[in-house]
Amino acid sequence: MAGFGSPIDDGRDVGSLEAWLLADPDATYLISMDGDALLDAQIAPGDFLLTQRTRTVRAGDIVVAEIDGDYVVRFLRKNGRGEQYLEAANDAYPKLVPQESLNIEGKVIACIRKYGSE
Amino acid sequence: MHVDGDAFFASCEQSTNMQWRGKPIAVGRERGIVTAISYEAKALGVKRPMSETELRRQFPQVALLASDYRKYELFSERMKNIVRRYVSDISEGSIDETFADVSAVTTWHEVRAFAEALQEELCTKLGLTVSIGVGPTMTIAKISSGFKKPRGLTIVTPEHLEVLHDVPLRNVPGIGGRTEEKLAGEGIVTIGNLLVLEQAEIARRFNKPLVELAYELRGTAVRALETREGTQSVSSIQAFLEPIMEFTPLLTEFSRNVERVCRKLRAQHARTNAVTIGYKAFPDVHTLITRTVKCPAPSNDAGTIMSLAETELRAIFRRSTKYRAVYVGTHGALAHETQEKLFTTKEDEAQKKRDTLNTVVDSLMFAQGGLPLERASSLRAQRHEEDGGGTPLLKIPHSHKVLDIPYLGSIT
Repeated sequence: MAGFGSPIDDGRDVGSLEAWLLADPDATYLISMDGDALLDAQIAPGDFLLTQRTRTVRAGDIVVAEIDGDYVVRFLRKNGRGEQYLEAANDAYPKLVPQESLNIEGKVIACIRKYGSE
Repeated sequence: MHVDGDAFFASCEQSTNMQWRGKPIAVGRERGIVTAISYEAKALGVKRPMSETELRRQFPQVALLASDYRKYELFSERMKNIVRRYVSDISEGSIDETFADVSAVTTWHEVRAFAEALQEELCTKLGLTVSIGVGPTMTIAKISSGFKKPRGLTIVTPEHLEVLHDVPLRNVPGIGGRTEEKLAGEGIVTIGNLLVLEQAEIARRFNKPLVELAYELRGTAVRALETREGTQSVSSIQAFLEPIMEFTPLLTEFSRNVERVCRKLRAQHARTNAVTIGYKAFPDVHTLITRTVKCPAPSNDAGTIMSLAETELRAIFRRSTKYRAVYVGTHGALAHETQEKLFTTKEDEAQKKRDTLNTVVDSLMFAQGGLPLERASSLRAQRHEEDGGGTPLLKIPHSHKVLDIPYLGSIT
């Protein structure tokens, strides 16, 4: 059932910022970053992350995931044996290898940082 | 096809607060009663309605959240948008369900694969589960979606309608308590009991809705989808968690719809020549009953439209009817900003004053993000509290508005 045009393909040659940011608006959610686990990836505390709920995630994506009962946002990695684990972008955080469960909630597709309070 | 959100309000809360996944939760704190419960709470034995006090005493482990209609409406819209990408003929239904006529896009042979793929997509994208029922008529599809829950898929083909025969009539949409009693008095308790009667005999013994229902149950569609017409129209429908039976609260909800429609019209610099008002009520909750009123002059003023509509609403209001939703929409083509008239009448001047007032109200609401102004009759319906325990939608700073993307809270 995949392969339908994205909402950007509406025949006009000008698309909105919103349509570009939200490739799949019905599957996109907002979550806010609390903590500095992704600081080296330039994601700071207080940033808003656009998260898309999708089945297609790859190693290297930043994902929102449930790992052994905890919810975190991390890079999805794969080891040599093809097993998935989660990694922060900050040396102070350990690698997270699932003991029991790893469920991917969604993929982070953009980071929004608004300046000031406007 | 009937797509039904499983424990929809509670599921929306679990979708936006991942900590509550798999946990027993209930919704309805702002009214002090449990109006919706998650499957986990149902498994513990929580029933609805149940008072907050009773819930706290018997099930202290169950979190009770305030309901957040704006959030549920966002999920509802998303559900409908996703279905609409595959099927153009869909009916709005109520907030947690959608009817779709899939006969043009799939066959009985392929419908299972189609429904499975759609269900998978809905569950992934919404972060909650839905159940799907497929049948030759809307009534059969709706009964089928309730067969297996949560995340069930039930297909009733025209060749196997006998699987419905053991279903009690009380589980059939469109059969109210009184009809059920009356039928039971004549020994008619299940669908099978009803359908052994010839259609002509049903017509002789019972009223029209039941005759239609019997046709539907035999696989002959009588009810058609109420699809949205014309891109030009503006409308607003509000479904209620608990049915409303009194006139005043109904009018309150109704007046909010009028406000919303007029605000949309003013944003488009348009006026309507006529308005359609309507409602859905038990037992036939998927039929919209409507009346259309002509405006004396094209209008986008809530006060003008409200006074026209109130008379009409009063006329169609029936005591002891359980109202499920109210609807207000424009009728016919919209009139866009007219040119200034050369000679103005007294009415024109009054109209102009109202326009100025509306412009001020709109600018207060939209530009400065000031106090949310609403007609006094709309105020009672304001029951979305900030700290209801759920993950609220994100507020836009310096405004009373919330963002139209569900917010999942913060994460580390």
